[in-house]
Amino acid sequence: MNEKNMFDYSEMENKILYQLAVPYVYFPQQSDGQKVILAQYIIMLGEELLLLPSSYAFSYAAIVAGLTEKQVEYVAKNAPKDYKIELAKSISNEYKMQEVMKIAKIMDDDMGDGITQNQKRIKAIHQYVLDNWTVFQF
Amino acid sequence: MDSISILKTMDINDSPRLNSGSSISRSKTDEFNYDLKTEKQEIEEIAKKLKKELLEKWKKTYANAEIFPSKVAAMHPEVVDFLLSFNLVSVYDDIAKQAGLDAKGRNEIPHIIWEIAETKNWNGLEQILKSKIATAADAHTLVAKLLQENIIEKIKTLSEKPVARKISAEKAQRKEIQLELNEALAQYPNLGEQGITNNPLKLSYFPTPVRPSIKNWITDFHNNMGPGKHSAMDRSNYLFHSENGKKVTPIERQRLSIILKSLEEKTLLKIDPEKQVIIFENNEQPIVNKQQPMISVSQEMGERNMDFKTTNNTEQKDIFQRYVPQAIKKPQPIFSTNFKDEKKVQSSIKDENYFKNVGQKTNSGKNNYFNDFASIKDKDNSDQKAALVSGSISFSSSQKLPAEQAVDVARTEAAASAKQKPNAQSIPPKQFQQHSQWQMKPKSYKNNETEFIELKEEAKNTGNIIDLRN
Repeated sequence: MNEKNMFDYSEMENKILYQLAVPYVYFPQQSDGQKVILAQYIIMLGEELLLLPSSYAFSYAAIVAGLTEKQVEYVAKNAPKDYKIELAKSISNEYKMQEVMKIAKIMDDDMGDGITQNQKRIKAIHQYVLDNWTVFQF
Repeated sequence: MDSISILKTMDINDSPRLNSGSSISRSKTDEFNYDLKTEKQEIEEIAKKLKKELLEKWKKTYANAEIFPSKVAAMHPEVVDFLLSFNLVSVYDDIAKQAGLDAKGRNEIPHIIWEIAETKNWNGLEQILKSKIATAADAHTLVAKLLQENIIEKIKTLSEKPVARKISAEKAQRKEIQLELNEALAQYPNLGEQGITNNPLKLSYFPTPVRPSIKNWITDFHNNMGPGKHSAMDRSNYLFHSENGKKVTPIERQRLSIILKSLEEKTLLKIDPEKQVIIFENNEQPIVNKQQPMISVSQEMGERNMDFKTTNNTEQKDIFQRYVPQAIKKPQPIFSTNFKDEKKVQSSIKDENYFKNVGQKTNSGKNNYFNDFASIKDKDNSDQKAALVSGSISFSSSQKLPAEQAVDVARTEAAASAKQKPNAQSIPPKQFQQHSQWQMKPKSYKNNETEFIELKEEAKNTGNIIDLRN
């Protein structure tokens, strides 16, 4: 009985570490629903914590779908070269952006009819990166 | 309950948490006193602590990472900060809307602004707009006016701040990062080809000498010391006593030491990411410039003493070489003259046994450490030898020591041989003269038979030489 009630701290620590360091592994992305969960997790992350995973994270559509204006501005101003290059790749990839918009649409649909908040956010982010292409090009 | 289950229970209940890195102690875990609130607080604290640790690690890793392309990095940081603010997206949208620009025209505006901010061509805005955006002439003027009012003026003001500009210049100049050797080699593969010493290396498993690059030095280090981690003492031994390590200059050895320390102890190295080289503090001068005087010195020494040419020049660069006591130093003209004098003296003295362990070494006195001492001993005894030869030493008693008797014999023999052979100095030195007074004469020795017979009488009297033939 005692063992059952006990909290496994090391396991909890590992979970937190996985979430922060490799969110694209920690959150499965087999379905659109799972991708939305990852996107929502990214929205809630602080700007600094967004950069804890490797730059490879920006190659996932669900992660790009979760980026906020504040986060992208932080990336443009503070992220190392690798992160910017990866984000620029995703933004300029039409197929990937379609997938991002799809995730954003599902998120909007979940919120209610006629809501386009997340889609607007993604469009604004897309425009921001294109406007400031100079700092994403190395 | 068996022993294994007891151990398991102990492990669960009593062992400290693995991989926690946290100082948070577990609160009540008793099933009757389980506190969810406390658990939540603890988890929050663990998460907070982990985030902090990860962020610190991340910041350390990317402390000197390249954030902007070089042309943007050279710009005023406040201008860059302003241009990267997210609000400008809507500003551009509004301007494009007011001027009736299409999507293409709208997307050109921010690029033009970046160009003007970089080139500081404040007055050329309208011209650039005309060349890049295809629209009505009025629209160009309107866009230029709106951009001037909303963005360009602000950029001009920010770029005129002197203090910030100075910081920007420093940032543009400073392009070095800190990484441990393995990481640096992984990120910048060309770094391994950086030469850190001057002379080529001899690798154990490679037939020809190779470039003294970082990679080759590491290979040589592992060939000599084996793989795995080594102590500072091991590294020091390698640096001073290995075949290649012996040949480097102190400065080169210092560089090697830094490289090996980073390899083994993961210490950080300063790296220039653009040039892909390790920056050695106080050693920025090219290796070639430093080597030049060493070579010229060795050449000069070589001219002075022919023996120096046969020795390894690189040994002269060794720090220990410079601290060899004066008495042991090989190329000393005083000794070289004494060697000649001593040879003459030795050739005139028949019985070298008196100076046992000395005469033999004067000929090869430049070969090892102990011979040098032998040379010094020779020098000290040279006066004594001369006195013995000249007969200036005499004793109050009529009784003669064995050595004196031997000298007398040598004199008589020298006089006899001088009569027989006019050039006495051309006679090669006799073998038995080199040996100890107590050495037994081998039967095969027949070259100086007559001489031995002459000595035999003395030997019988003194009992110093045993004639095995009798």
